[in-house]
Amino acid sequence: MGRRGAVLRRLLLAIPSVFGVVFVVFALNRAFVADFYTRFKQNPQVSREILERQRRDAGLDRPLVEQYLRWLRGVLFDVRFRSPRTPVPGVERPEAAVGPGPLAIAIPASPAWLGDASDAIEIEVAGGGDSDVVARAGGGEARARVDAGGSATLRLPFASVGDRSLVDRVELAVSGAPVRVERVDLVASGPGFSLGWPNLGLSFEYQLPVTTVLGPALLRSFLLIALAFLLTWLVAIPAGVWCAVHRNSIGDRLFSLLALAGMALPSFFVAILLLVALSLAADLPASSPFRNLLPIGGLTSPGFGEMSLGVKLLDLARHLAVPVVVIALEGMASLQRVMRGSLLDELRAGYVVTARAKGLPENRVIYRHALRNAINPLVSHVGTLFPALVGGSALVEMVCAYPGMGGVLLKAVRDNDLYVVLGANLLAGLLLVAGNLFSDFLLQAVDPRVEAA
Amino acid sequence: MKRLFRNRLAALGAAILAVLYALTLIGGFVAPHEYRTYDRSSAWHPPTPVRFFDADGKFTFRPFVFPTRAVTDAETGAVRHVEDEGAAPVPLELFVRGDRYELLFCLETDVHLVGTPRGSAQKLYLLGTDRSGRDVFSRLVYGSRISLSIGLVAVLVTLGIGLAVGGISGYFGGAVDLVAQRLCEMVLMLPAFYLLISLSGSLPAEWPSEATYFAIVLLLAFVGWGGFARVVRGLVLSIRARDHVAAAKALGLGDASTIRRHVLPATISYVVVSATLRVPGAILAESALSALNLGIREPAASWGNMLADATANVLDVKAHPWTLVPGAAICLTVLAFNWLGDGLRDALDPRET
Repeated sequence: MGRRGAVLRRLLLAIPSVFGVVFVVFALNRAFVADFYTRFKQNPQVSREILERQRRDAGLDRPLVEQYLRWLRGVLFDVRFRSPRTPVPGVERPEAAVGPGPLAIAIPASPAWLGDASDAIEIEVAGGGDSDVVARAGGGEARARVDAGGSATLRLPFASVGDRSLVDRVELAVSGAPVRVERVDLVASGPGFSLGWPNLGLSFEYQLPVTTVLGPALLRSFLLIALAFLLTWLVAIPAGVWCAVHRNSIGDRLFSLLALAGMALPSFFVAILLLVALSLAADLPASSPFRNLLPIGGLTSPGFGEMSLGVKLLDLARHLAVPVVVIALEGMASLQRVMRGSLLDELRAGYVVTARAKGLPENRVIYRHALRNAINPLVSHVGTLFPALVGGSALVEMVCAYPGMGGVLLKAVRDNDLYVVLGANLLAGLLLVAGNLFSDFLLQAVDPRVEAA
Repeated sequence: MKRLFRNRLAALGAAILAVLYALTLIGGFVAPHEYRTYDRSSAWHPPTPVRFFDADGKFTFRPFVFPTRAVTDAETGAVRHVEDEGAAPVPLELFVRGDRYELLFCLETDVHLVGTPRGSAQKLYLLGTDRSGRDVFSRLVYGSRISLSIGLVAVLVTLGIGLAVGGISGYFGGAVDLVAQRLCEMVLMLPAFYLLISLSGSLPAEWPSEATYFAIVLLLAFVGWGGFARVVRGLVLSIRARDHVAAAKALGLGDASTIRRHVLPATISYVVVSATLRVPGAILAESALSALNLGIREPAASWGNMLADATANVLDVKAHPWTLVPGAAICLTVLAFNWLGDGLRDALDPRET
């Protein structure tokens, strides 16, 4: 299988596994945990009827599989199938002939009515004798003339009707002889389905689309991870090279010890320690330069909106410092070890002996010959680093009150905001797949010998 | 074994772990209090200093503590516990009677290694107390039951799944292998930490702590077996081609027995090293979950949930730094496992022989 094939295979595997896992989360959550509205039941200020209605509107009273499929439909480009012609749900057609005069046909609000993707309402009237019929709904109007014994169709396109959640009836005005209403239908033209933008459902807590809740958080997490990644590499690579070149020196041993300690310290504990140190610094006398060194937690200071651009950037950087350093530390130790080991392996290789033997300066041997070859294992290491960063950042975000994906996820888990939880897992899963593909791609870019497995 | 303990760090790691696990077994005896014993009037009590020199500055063989009194800060209303050096000292005694517990999980007794006599003015808080006035040291000792064992149990389950899937996949090859490997890839591509958070958030809060414990074990195994199974498969692929496996088959041994008796035992050195190096990860994951109040729930003690207050509000820690001790315990354990694992890897690495 070639490179494209491997990429395709991974994508094909990744998509169902991500959705499968999201289903497991959904099933466990719905099986064990009461839904979002349950905790309000204890609250005497909230009426039972309103709660029940909100649960129904959110579709929480439906079978679990249906709930999941509805959510899934939203994710998959909100695909909706439609038949060319269906009766308007819940509408009762008057039995007897109408007119002359007005008639209102009520349309009860229902998910089927609100979520429908048809183009127009069609009303067919028959009978009468030279009757004029006017149909109105929302902002739309249609007129037709019905001959004796004939029939006519009034078409109210939704484009003219407007927001259908505001439409609760169709009004008919009949002048002349009475007419019979034969049918009140929804009609759709074009293909048998419609597509919309993917949406991840509605957050119970914020009453906003989940994409609106998670989008900014995703960007913030991405900023955090990207900066941490950069810092990890900027420190670990030179440190690894230095340790390999000065093998078994005091510095090398010190680094080994630090790296071991770094791997043993849980990141959230490091974050707590740093934050405690910072809060202790805040108690220093006002004259001390270390007072208010860095803020503890959050992303921006109060009054961020009024700051000038330069001050804004500085404020952001100060808030980002702690989480970035903590996350970077997590990956740094292992990356430094890999770099050191890999360069040491290369320095033992035959071509290095040759290069030295022909009298090349040592710097050139190390940095032009050995280092180039030693980079490869690092690039494949990126693949393992990425999941660690995504997971590690979530935990650190929670401790540092950083409003990224991890922070949003934790809050959603606590509030039982189901669709935000599902959305966060889905996005994190897709992020991982993308990260893995990227590191494969990188590996092939630096080393043409690598054929994707 | 000899080669392992020539490595000083590995020996040190093994020694630390031996002490910690021994403490777990006799925890109730070592801890002055039971993990649920609380005293609201001594919430956030600082560690009681144990004194060896009496008022005249003379050394005494019987260490003692001074009683503390609660001082309310007029400005903030915060209560601090201050040592009262004028009061009569309370001597510490060995084998004092206190809370009832089960020694070695079977003998019910109330004798504790050390403490202040029952009914005395001051209780012994070696590492202070938490927000409900529970002894941090006692909870640390009891918490080690959960925190130290959950890593082992979770890794054992992970190894079980990984060995089964990897062994079958590598041994049979073909379609079985293909399916098993795709399964592994799927597991490897999951956002493990997000999943852990979401799934453990779904565990009902009213479950007893044992049920939560096993649920977390299963969750950790579920997200962890993929990578392990892949390596086992690789090992099995090469072992399968060896002569002793062919001999076993030629003698008419069934597939299951061949895998169990002749293929998997050959992976033992990898399995041992991998297990040792995986335990810290599981311990860290449990402590992280519990620290976020999503894992082991109160009143049960785990090193993670003892850090929950610190995780939720850093300013709490500033006033009560002794609540960070469980974090240090986690670090020590993880470090010890890493040292031991690295030592094992070096000792078992055939390249070095």
